[in-house]
Amino acid sequence: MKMLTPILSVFLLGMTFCARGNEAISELHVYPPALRLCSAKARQRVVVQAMQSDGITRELAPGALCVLANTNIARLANGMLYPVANGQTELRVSFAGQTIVAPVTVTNATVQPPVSFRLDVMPVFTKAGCNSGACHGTSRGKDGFHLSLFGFDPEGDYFRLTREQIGRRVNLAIPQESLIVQKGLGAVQHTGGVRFATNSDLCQTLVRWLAAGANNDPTNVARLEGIDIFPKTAVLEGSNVQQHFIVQARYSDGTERDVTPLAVFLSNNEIVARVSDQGAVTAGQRGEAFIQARFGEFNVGAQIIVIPKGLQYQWPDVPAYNYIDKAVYAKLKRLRLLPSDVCDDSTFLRRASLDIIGQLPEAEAVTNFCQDTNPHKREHLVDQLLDRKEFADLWVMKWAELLEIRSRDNEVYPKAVLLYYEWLRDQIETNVPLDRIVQQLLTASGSTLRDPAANYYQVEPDTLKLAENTAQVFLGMRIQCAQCHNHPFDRWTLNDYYGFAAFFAQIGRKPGDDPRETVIFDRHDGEVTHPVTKKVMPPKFLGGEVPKLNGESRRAVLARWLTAPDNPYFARNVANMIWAQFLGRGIIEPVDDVRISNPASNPELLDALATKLVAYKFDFKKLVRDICTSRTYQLSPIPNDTNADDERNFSHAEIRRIRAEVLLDCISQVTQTQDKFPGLPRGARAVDIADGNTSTYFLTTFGRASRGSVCSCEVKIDPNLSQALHLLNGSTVQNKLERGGVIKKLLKDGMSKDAIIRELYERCYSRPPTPDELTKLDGFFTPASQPQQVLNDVFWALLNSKEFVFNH
Amino acid sequence: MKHPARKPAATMGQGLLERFTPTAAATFLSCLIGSLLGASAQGQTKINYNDHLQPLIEANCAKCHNPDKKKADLDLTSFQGALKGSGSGVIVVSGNLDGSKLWKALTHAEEPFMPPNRPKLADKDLDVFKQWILDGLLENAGAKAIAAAKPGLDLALNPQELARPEGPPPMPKQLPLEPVVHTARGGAILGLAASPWAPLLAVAGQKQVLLFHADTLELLGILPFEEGQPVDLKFSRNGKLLLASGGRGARSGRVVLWNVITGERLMTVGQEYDTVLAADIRPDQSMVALGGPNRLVKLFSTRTGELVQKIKKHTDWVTAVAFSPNGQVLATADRNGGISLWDPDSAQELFTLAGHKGAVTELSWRADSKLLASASEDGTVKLWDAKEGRQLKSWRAHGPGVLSVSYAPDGQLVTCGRDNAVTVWNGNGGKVRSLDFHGNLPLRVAFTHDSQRVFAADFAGHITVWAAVQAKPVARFDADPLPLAEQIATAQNHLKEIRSRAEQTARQIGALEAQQAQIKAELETANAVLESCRAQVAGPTTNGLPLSVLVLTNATQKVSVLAQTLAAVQTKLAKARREDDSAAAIDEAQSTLGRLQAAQLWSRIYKARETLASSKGERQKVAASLQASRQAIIDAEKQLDAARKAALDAQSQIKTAKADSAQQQPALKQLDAELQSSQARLAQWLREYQKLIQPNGDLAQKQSAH
Repeated sequence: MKMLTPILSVFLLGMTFCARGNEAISELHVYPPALRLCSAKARQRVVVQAMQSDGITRELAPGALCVLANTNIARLANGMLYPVANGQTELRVSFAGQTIVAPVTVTNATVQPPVSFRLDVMPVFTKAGCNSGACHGTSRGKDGFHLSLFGFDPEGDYFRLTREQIGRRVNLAIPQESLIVQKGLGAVQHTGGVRFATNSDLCQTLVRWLAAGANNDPTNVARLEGIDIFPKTAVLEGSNVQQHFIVQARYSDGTERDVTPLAVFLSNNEIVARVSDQGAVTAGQRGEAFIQARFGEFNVGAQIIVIPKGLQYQWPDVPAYNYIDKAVYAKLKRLRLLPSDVCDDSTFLRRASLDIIGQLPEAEAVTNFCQDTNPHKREHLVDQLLDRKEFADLWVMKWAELLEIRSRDNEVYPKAVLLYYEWLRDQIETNVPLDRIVQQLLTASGSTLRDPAANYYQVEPDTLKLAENTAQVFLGMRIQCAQCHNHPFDRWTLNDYYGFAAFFAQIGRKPGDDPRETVIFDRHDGEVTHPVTKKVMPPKFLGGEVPKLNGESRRAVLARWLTAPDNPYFARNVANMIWAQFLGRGIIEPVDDVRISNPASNPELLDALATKLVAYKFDFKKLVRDICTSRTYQLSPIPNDTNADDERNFSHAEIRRIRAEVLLDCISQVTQTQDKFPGLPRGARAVDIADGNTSTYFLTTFGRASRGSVCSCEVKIDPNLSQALHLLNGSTVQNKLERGGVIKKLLKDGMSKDAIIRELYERCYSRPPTPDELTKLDGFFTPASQPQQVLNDVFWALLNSKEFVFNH
Repeated sequence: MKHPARKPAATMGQGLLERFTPTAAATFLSCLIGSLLGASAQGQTKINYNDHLQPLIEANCAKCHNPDKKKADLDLTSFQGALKGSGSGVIVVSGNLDGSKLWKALTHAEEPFMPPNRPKLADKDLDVFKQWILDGLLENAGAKAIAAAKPGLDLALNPQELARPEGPPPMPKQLPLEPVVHTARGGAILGLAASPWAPLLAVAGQKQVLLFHADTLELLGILPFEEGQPVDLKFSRNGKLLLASGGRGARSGRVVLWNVITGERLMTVGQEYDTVLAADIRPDQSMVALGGPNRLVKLFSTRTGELVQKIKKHTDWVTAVAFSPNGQVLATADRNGGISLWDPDSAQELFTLAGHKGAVTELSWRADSKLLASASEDGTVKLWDAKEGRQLKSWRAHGPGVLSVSYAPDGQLVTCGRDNAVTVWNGNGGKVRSLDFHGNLPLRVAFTHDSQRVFAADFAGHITVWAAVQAKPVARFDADPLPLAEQIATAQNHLKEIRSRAEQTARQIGALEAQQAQIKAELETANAVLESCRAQVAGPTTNGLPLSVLVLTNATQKVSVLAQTLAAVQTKLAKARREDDSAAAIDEAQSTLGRLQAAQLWSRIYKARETLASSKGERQKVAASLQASRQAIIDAEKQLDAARKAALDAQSQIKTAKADSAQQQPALKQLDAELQSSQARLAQWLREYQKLIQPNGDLAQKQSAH
C-alpha cells in the first residue's frame, strides 16, 4: 500500500494536468532516452517533454511524474539522477494516461575518476570563454597567453598552461593561488574580467586538477566521439515558456556523460528564443530559432518554434500537387502559417520562362496561354520550356560560375577557357547526369586543351584551395576555417581539413607542347602534413572514413565517394542549389554554407528533393520539373496576414531582381536588338559568355559573377542606385530603344496605339494593360503629340519599371 | 637568368684551384715569407680577399651588396666595405666564426639566410669564407693578418683577479627554521643561488627562502617572503646579503634584502603591479635593479630606497637582470631574446647583444666580469664579450630550450633545459659531462663557491646534488620542511621509541648477567665437587673405587658443560653490550629534539624580533606622527596665542575706545554745561537787549537802520 501511494498520487496529478490542458497529449518523451551513470560523480538531468496533438510541446517537471523502479541503484532529486550502486533499473514516466520507460544503467558507482585534462579541464576553458576567438583563442593569444581556439590542441594547451612560463600560470604547491585561477576569478588584473566564481564547478574542477599535480592525461584517455542534444525540437506556445535542453557526450570507452553545464549554448535568434548558459531556453516573440550547443570539437543544434498563446488557426483545404508541397505544408502548419494563393496565369508564364530559359514569353504566347483552358497547361508549359536549348544555357552559366571558368594571364589561357566552357556546355546539353560530370572533373587528367575537364586543376593550382573549392561547390561546405583551427560553428576539425586536402596532394602539372597547355597527372607522390601535429595526413573523406587506396588515384577514390548515391551531402547540396535557382532562396541559405549552425529551414523537404534527385540518377531536369510544377512554386508573391514576415518557409513567392545576364537578354529581346560581346558572334546572348573575364558595364553594374571565386555570393542580385540610374540615364536602354525601332515597325504594320500598348505590355510584363493603366496612358496622347514619340516613352517607362526588372 | 650569373663563380673557383696546384714555387715562397714573418707556417697560401673572396662575392652577393645598392648598408665588393660591416655592425671578426655574422648568414645558422631564397653556397665555396675569417681577414696575398680576437685566451679565467673579501665566509649564525607554509605537494622552484664565498645555498620555496649548508645539506634557515612567491635569488658579491624578488602574478611585486648572517630583513624595494621576475644588487651594494612583465628595468638606490633610473628598452617581459661582479656593467634580457648591457650609473646602453631567437631565461657573469653567458628558449647558450659587446660562442646546449645557466667560480658552466638534462661545460662551451638527472624538468642550476658541487632545482620541488666531477648524484632532497611543531612531535616519538628500546636492552643485559652469575656459582660448585672427586680418586684406595671414577667422570663432564654455557652467555652478554648504542642514540635524539625546540624558540624570537622591528618601524611612524601632531598642537597653540593676543589687542582697543569715550563724557558734560551756560548767557543778553530797546525806541530804529 505504501508503495502504491506515490504512484497513485502521480496518477492523480497527471489527471489534473490533463484536465487543465485543452489538447490531448499525443506523445510523451523522456530525455535522454537511455540513462547511463558511469562514475560516482556522474549526474544526469532528466527532461520530460509532452507533445500535444496540435504539435505544441510542453516541458513537464520530472519530479512527480517519474518513478524509479529501484532506488537502491539510482536516485532522482530536483530533476537530477544520481548513482547509488552498480546495476540496472528503469525510470517510469506517466502522464495523462501515457507511460514511457527509460532504462537506467549505473556502472562504477563508487569510482571517483581523477580529474582529466582533456575531459574535465579543457571544457572549463571553453565554457568560461577563455579560448574563444576574442580572447586567448586568437592565433597569437591575448596578453601573452595563448590557448587553442575552442581547445582543438589539448597537448599544446597543456604545455602552455603548465610549462611555457614555468612558475607563472600554475602553482602546484598552492593550487588556488595559481594565476590561471586568480585570473579567472578576477582576483588579479584580467582584461577578460571575472570568468567564474570560487565555488563554481568550473573553478573547483580547475583547482582539483592543479591540486592533483596538473597531470596530463595518459595516452589511452577516452576520446570524445560525439554529442547529442535533447530534445531535438520544441514548439513553445506563448512567450516566457521554458524548455530545458541537455547535451550528452559519448566517449570512445563507451561511457556517456551529461555535459550540459559544460556545453556552450548559442541562439541564432535571441528575440524568438533566449538560451541560458545552462541550456534553458525561454520563448520570446513568434518565430523560429536554432539553438546551437558546442562541446569539445562538436556542435549540435535544436530547432525552436514559438507561436503566440491561444492563436486561432485553421489550415485551409489546399491541394498538394506533389511531395514538395506536402513537406512545405507540414512546416507551415507547425509555424501556424498559411500559404498565399496561387498566382495568375500570366505571372506564372513570365516566372517560368525567366527561371527555366532566361527569356520573356512572346506577346502572342501570353494571350494563347491565358486563354488555354487545359487544366494541365502549366505542366505542359514547364515541359515545353525544359526542352528548349536555352534551359541548358542557363545551367552552363551557373556551373561555369562555380567552376570559375575565366582566363588569367599566363595561367589560364582564353583557348583553354573556351574549350573548358564548350566541354561543359556539351555535358549539360546532352543531359549527362550531374554525378557523371563531377566525376569527370575530379578525375580529369591530361592536357588542358585536349581534355578540357583537366582545367579544373589548372584554374586552382593550390592544394588546399582545391580542397576548399571542391567542398564548397560540390558539398556546399565552407571548410576554410579548419585550415588554422577547428571550425567554430561546425564539426570540421584540422584533421578533417587536412585529411580532405590529402586527396589533392598528388596532382602533378607539367607544361605541354603548346605554351598555353598544362598537362595534369597523378604523381603518386606528395603528402599533406598537419600543421599542429606535423603528421602526414592520410586522405580522409569529409565526415567519413579513411579509405583504402590500393594504389588507385586519390582523386578517383574521392570522386567515387563524393558522387555516390548514399553520400550524405552531394545530392542534398545539388538539390538545394537547384531549388534556390527557382525559389530565390535555398532551403539552406546561403546554399554553399551548409553547417550545423546554419540548418535547413525544412530538412524534410531537402531530404525529399535529394532522394528524388538520386532516384532520377542525377538527371536534374526531372527535379526542375518537380519544382516548377509544385504548387509552392506557383504561389503568388502577395502575402496574407500570417505569412508576411516569413522569408524562409516558402509560404509565398519571393520577388527577385532578374540577374544581370538574363536582364540584358530580356531587354535585347523586347527591343529586338542584338549585343556584341568580345569573342562571341553578334547576337549572342549574355548568358552564353564563356570567359568570366568578359563583361560589360551593364553586366558588372547588375552584379554579374566575376568567377573569381566559387562563392555563391559572386552573383549579386541586390538592387542598387547605380543600376536604377543606368537604366534611366545609361546608354543601354536608350540605345536599344532607338536601334530596335520596335514602335516604328509596329506603326508601320498599321497597328493602333492601343494595340501597340497592349503589345508592349505583353512583351515586357507578359500581361495586357489594365483599364486603369490604359486610361492614364491615354492622357499622354494629345493632338499636339507625336504618337511614335509618346509610344517610345511608354516603352521606355515600361523598361524602367520595377515590374520589368523583377521576377515575381 | 640565374644560371649565367652563377657560372662565373664555378669557373672562378676552378681557376682558383688550378692556379694553386701547379705553382708549387709560389707556395714555397709564400711559405718561406710566412715563416719569416712569424705567421703560422702551415705550408699553404692563405685565403685573401682580393684573390679568393672577391670572385665569390661578385657571383653571389654583389647584386645587392654593391656600393650603389648597399642593401642593409653593406657593401661587400670592397675589402674595406666588408670590414666596415652592415647597418647592424661588423659582419666578420678575425679568427672567430661564431662571432662573424657573415658566416652565420652563409651557413644558414642565423637569419637572414644568404644568399636569399637560394640554397647555401657549395661547401668548397663556404670553406673559402671560413678560411678567410680564420686566417685573419687578409686583404691580399701580401697583407698581414688582422689580429685575431683570440677567444681561447679570452675564455681563460685568471683566478688572481677574483678578490676574496676579508673575514670569514658569511654563514648564517642563527636563523629561524619555522616554515611559513608547508604544502602537500612540492611546487616548481624558480630561484636558486649559491653564495660566492661560503658553502651556502639559497632556495626559493613557497612564500619563503630556504638556506641550506651546501656540504652537509643541513637546513640553516628559513626567511619568510610573505610578498608571494620568490622567483629570483641573488647573493651580494661579498656573500653577506641575500636578495629575493617575486610577488603575485598580475598583482604585486617586491624585492627583499636580508642579512645572511643574522637573517635580518634589511629593506624592501619596488612597488610593482606584477611579480618581479628578476633582480640583482650591485656589488658595491649601492643599488638594486629589477625587471618584470611591464618591460621596464628599474634601478633603486639602496640608501634612500628611491627609484633612480627607469630603462625603457625591452620589448617584452624582462626575464633576467645581472650586475657584473666588478659592478661596472648591468646586463638585462627579455622574453623576446634581447640582451642589453648598461652603464649602471648613467643608465646608458653600452651594447645590444642580438642573437637569441627565443626568450632569454637566465644571464650569468663569469667571476672576472669579462664574459656573460646567456641561456635561451632557442636552445642555445651564448657567451658574450662584455667589453666589445660581441658574441664569442654559441652552442646548442639543450635543443628544446635552455632554462638556466650558471658560471662556476673556476670558469666552468652548468646548464639545464627542457630536454630534462643537466650538463657541465668547460669555458669554451665544450661538454664536460652530463649529470644524471631523474627528476621532473630541471629549472635552475648553480655551482657552489668552491666549484665542487652542482645543485639543480626542479619542477616538482626537489633539489638534486652532484659532485661536479661525477655524473651520479650524491643526494636529493626537497625544499618543503614540515612545521617545527610536527618535527618536534616526530623527534619526541623517536626519542620515546629509542628509550623504550634501550630499556628493553638493559633488561636483556640484566637477565644475562644474572644467568652468568648463576652459572658461575654452579661452576664453582661443580669444580669443588670435581676437586673432591679427584682427591678421592687420588687418595688411598678404598672400597668402591670404580664408583669414584664414575663420579669423577660425571663431575668433569658437568664442569665442562657449565664452562661452555658460561662462555655462551658471556659471548651473548658481550654482544648485547657491544650492540647497545642506546645511550648514543638517546643522546643524539635528545640533541635533535633539543635543537628543534631551540629552533622553535629561536623562530619565535626571530619572529618577535621581526615583529618588533616592524613595530619599531610602526612606532617610529607613530612617533613621527605624534611629533607631527604635537607640532600641530604647538602651531595651533601659537595660532591661538596670536589670536588671543589679537583679541587682547582688540579688547585694549575697545578699552581705549571705551576709556576715550569715558574721558570724553565729562568733556561732553562740560560742553553741555558750556552750551547751557552760553545759551543762558545768550538768553540773558537777549533779555537785556529787550530791556534796552523797549524804553529807547530811537536806538532800536538806529539799529534797524544799520
